[in-house]
Amino acid sequence: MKFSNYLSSIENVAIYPIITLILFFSVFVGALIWIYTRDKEYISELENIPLDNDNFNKNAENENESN
Amino acid sequence: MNVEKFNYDNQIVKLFLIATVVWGIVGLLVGVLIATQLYIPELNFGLSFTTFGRLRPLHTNAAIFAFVGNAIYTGVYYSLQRIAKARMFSDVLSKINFWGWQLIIVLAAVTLLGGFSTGKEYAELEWPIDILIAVVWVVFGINMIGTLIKRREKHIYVAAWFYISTFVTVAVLHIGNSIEIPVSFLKSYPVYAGIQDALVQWWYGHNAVAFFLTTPFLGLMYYFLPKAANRPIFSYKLSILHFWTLIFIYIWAGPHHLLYSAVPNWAQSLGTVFSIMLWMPSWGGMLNGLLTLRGAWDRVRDNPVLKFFVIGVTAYGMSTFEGPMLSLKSVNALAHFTDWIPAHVHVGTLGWNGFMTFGMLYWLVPKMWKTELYSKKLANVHFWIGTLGIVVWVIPMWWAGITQALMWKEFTPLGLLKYSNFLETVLQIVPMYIIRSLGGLLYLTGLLIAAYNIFKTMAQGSFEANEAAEAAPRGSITEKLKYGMIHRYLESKTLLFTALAFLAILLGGLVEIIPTYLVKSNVPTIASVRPYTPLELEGRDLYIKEACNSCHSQLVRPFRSEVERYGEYSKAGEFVYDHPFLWGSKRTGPDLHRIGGKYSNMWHYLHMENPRSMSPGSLMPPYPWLIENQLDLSSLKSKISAMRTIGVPYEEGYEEIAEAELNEQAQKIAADLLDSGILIDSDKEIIALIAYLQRLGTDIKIDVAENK
Repeated sequence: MKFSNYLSSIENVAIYPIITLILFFSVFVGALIWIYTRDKEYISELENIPLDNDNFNKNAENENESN
Repeated sequence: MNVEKFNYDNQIVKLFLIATVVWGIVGLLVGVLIATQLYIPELNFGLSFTTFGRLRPLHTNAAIFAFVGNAIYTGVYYSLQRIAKARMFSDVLSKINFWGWQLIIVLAAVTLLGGFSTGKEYAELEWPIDILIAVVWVVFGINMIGTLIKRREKHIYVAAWFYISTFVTVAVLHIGNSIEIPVSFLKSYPVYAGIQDALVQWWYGHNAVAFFLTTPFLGLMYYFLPKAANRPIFSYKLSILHFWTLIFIYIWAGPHHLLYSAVPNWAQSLGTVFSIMLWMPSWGGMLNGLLTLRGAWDRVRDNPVLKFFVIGVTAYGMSTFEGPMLSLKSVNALAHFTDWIPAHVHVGTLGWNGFMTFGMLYWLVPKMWKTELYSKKLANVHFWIGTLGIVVWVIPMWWAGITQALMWKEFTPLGLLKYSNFLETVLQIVPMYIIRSLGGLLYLTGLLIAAYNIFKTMAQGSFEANEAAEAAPRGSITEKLKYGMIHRYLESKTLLFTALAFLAILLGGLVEIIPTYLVKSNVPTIASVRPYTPLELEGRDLYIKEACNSCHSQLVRPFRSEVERYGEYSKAGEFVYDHPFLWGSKRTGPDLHRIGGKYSNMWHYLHMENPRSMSPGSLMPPYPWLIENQLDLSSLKSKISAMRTIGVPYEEGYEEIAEAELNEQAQKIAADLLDSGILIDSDKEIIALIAYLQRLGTDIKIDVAENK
């Protein structure tokens, strides 16, 4: 049976899939725009969050590199 | 710049870490036992609480909620404090989270062994425990969101996004799937029936995989992989896209568990389409993890932590490719109900969850105990023995699944089923079952080695319950005055973000489920389908108690091979009184939807007493206690009225005469058994079970007869 048969008794049902599609598509596009408009510095600040908070010493990264 | 001093709570991480190892051993041990029971039925020991049906949910619950669950808490409680640069929001909530969760695990183990089960996969626990789970989970959520609100770090790192979406979605799923009407202290019926119940269950079941086994571990990957590799993630931008696309798409894919079932076609197609789309974000995440190691592969060679992570992330990639492939209808027609599905699942749990957990433990323990790993060599042994274990587990099961499916579908040139006896197809794959259990044993051995190594590392190091830290506070007062409302808005982003994630996952669920509520025509009614008689209802509850649905489906798919083997394919309208639905997901034994009337009462009696007396070589465990135990009728009245409340048309006052009707039907069956030379009282459990089995799938037979 077709999708429309099940939903035909809900009024104006066709609008719901369209609303959902628009919503999903705009979130996706929004995320893309947000990502591509961030500057490098901001992204690098973010991606270093897990690495820069070793309290024992701030230079842990360099030390480990040389190990 | 002023700097605040504070402490990280390592004690709570330590507790969860130990619980992870302990429950991991328990869960795997039960797994090895049930894998062995499949080819040595004597290992069921003839006792109710050691029989496969009781142990299988114990294994899945222990592996998912006890082992993986505690691993999630371990990783989240460690990493969240660091990326927020703050101690957990509340020590009291942390403790409630820990002890509450362990209490749930113990209660789960006891009730599952006792046969108290809702019959819904990965949601077997009964309603009082469901409530406890909801409370402890919300405590976890408050603790996590509270920590993020009082964080010192300006930004929220992507790992925390995954943690929040985990909290929000699991809460919604758990509550949505557990809406049930209590009958007694440890018995309830779901308000949904038949295909509705199936859709809700697999909306839950699929997303439990998504948001309990996947998103928290992606969060852990985004924290611990950069930590262990000592370099930032390959692409932070990709991780953001990964996050939003994953949580938006995942929630829609549930119906792919119900392909070729009685669920409406549009819902099945929806599940397939979204499953294929899901491949993209999944592989985006996998590549992001693996590419973090670009140019550092030499380090993988001598670092056990990275080795585990590499196999873990690769297993994630493999199972997220296999998943969309299995949701193609043509592949699913072959793979569904076979051992291919557990193979797919175990690539995920043993490879992805297990190895990510082990990598994390090997990194965390030396760090928190301020020492080196006791033995790198043992960790490498664990790595190889574990990897071998996965391979030896998974490959025989792929093989078994495809072999058996092809045998089910094979016809002779004359158009008859080549293997008309189901048991033939089972005996063919017994060698694969034997090899699989050895794979499990290898993997368990690896974990035992890890436990020893971790224990020795702890013993040689010195643990500090409160690790001192310092960081600048977020946003000074002058800044606040300067930015005013906007700044406050940005600060509240944690809650805004939580709300957005909630919205994203809710939409998918609603679109899937609402149509089945609103429109009656969605479930075409069949006039001859009647509610179960009181005796059949009690028999059905025994079927749930012994978890017969672990090994037997009740869903004949519309294939020539299945109609030929089992009878008419299953229609949606046949399940309208099934609270819960019992379609099952695996055919270790044959489908039972059309079993009613196929064999005599005597056959069922002797078969339950000792399956091999009726089917020589059968792998089914014996159920001798059903013959000895008296049927418990104490909640019959409340069962009838509960069923009426959720829409089963028992007449008002029917509960008053239900017991008399039950006895009448039971005496008929006992009399029939006596005619066959079996003397048994009519008040035994076996009578109710036989009544239920003989009823199964017979409603439409009446319909066909009347139409003729």
